[in-house]
Amino acid sequence: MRAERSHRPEEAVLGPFEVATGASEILAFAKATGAPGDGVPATFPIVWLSAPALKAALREAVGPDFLPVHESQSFDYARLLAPDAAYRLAAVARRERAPDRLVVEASVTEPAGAPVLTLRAVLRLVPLAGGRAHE
Amino acid sequence: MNNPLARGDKMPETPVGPFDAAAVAAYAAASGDDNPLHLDPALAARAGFSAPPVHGMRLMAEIVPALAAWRPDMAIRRLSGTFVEPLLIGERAILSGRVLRAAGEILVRVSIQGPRRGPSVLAEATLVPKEGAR
Repeated sequence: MRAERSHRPEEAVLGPFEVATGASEILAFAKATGAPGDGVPATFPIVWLSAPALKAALREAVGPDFLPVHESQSFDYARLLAPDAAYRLAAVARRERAPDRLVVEASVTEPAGAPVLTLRAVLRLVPLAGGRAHE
Repeated sequence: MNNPLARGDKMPETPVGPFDAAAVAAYAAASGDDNPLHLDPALAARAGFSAPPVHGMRLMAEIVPALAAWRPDMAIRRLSGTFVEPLLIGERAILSGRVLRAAGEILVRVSIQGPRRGPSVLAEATLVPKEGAR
């Protein structure tokens, strides 16, 4: 099946989702990346973009004819993440053409609404065989 | 106590990799990024790579311990990076960095340079004293 431009919105609002800095997840991430043992690694929030609910929404936004390749990423902190804490993540995924990209901008807040950080991911969408690129 | 940073100060160069398939799989499991391009040699070959590329975020994650080892008194306020060239499983790279701005917040440009012409990661980190980041 080929993804047609008109079948996918140019912009999708995703969430809000509940996310957390669980001790076991942080430990696994730190072990896999060599991060120092104190606090939450600065790049740990990338884990949240792969959480099942958000990943499914992003896959839908990408469509079946493309393979996403990470092109750039940023983390902008208003305050440090605390271990073993719960947060809320809301994202906007914007589809770009020529070249095909998906830009994901996410805001993470404390449950009461105080801003904690923003993330921005740019995914280059590589057409799979039979897919349609917009170059 | 650490000395104040000045424009032009350099981070110590740090070796990065080589990563094997198990290390890439461990990162995929820990991060949830199971993009098969990084895990499936056959798919990587169809995409033109002689081996699967290491996740760009796995490489970017190297910057965090390197900065912490260099300046344990500083915290990362902002970290951004562009994944310019792939680093394939089995390849080595070097992480280096230089202070671009030392007035107020500290801006450091960090490069992870593999065997290709361009860097695998070109990043900027904004550092603040640890107490100021909270």
